[in-house]
Amino acid sequence: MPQGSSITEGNDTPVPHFLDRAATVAPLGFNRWFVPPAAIAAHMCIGQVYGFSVFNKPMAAEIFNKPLTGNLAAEISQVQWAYSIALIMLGLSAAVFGKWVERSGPRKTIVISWLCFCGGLLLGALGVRLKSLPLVLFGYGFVGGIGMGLGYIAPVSTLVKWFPDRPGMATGMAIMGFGGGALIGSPLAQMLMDFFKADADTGATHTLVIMALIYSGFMLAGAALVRVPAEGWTPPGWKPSVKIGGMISAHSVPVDSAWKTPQFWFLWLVLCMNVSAGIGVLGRASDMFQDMFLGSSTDAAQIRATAAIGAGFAGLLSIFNMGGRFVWSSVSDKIGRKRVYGIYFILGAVLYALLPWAQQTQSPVAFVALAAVIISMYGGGFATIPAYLKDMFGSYQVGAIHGRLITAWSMAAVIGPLLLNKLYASRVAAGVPKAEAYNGTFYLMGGLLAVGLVANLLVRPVDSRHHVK
Amino acid sequence: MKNTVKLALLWLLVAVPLGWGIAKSVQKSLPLFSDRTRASAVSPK
Repeated sequence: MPQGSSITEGNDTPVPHFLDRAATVAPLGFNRWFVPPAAIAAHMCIGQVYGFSVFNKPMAAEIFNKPLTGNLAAEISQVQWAYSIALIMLGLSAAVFGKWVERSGPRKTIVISWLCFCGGLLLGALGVRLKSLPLVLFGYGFVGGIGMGLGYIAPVSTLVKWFPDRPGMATGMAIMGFGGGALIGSPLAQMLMDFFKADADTGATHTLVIMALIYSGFMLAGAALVRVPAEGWTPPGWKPSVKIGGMISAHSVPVDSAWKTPQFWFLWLVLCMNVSAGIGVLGRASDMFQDMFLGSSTDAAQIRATAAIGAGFAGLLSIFNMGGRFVWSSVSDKIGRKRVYGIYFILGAVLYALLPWAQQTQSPVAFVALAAVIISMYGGGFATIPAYLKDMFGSYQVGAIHGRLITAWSMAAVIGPLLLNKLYASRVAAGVPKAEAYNGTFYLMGGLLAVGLVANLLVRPVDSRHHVK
Repeated sequence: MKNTVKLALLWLLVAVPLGWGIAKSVQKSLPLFSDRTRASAVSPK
């Protein structure tokens, strides 16, 4: 009996279980455009993690029995570990379970991802209700993070196989959904907490439960609708155009060989540098804009207005982060993956070098425009990497290879903010005015992009000894 | 025809929440284009 088949009919034809990969093979004539929304449905749920900060204050107040209006800085820093653990587990689970995901198929993976992610939200809710920080960290961070990692890589391989003619656009759509998850998760959580809050209850518990229910609907719909193409399927009329020795390989490389090739590590560095340069700026966007263009005030109304403008800047960048994922990855289908990363790195470094000029001339419009393009390329970097991996290693185990490469994101999530915050703090300590203290960090970010450019230039086709025979 | 409707509904299922999220973010970013921000450009610190 083939692996994964559980029931055998009288004529010995194995009937695959609904969750098995075999049960998701599309019938002849299936419209492939059903698959991207199924992938987006899963991704926009797990992308909620980017909007976790909306829970920082309410969770800190409830868990530590403090008033919501009090100074909660120390408590918030403990609650924020849930976010950090979730991102670490996202990277680790994607790397560890990648091969299992390839074997099990997207439906089973999205269902397990749903169990972990929504289960994590429920455990987080229980943790808040029981005032147990460890339960919140374990539930949302550890369990939920595993769900995020599985859900992130689940549809990648499937989309690449459905859209061999436009793999960048296809995976870009799903990964755009992840970026969109923050745009949905944050205001949804705020709206629900405003609805449920009463006296000392911030409404966080009810909000987490309701969000788990809403996300369950979307993730299970995605799991039910996802399909894999039949073996050897290609889009009607499409013929692969592969140049011998070109940057798109006609061969496949298994994950266990792929990660031993220099190409894998150059691409790891490409993703790591691209993400490092953007993630620090994105994380500090609101404070950065306020420091550089709005100055400080002691007037409460002025502080509120300034904070609203800073939050507006962060909100705008989130839109470009999401849009860039689709636009740039689609562009990569036309001009090639190596060239598009070349644009991210060269244009990105030039734009970073121009940011100090925008500050010195006090031109917020120029600053916003430059930062928006930079962040669109940050998002584009995430979305283009699966197609780059497909070009290098083929579609055979591209999901698993992508899973291992995501560790670059986890690393970047640490080094990007660390470098930016350390350099900024040292400049302020050296007496540089806050408005100018970021300028040095922009040159540093440009430098990271230059390292990425070198790594990208070193990417060459994979040696034929690694190809699947 | 039935398939086209199903496909359109499926895309709506994801487009509506994403559109709502984008609208909320645009709304949040409006203060960025307020007089206060423009004023900072003409009165450099």
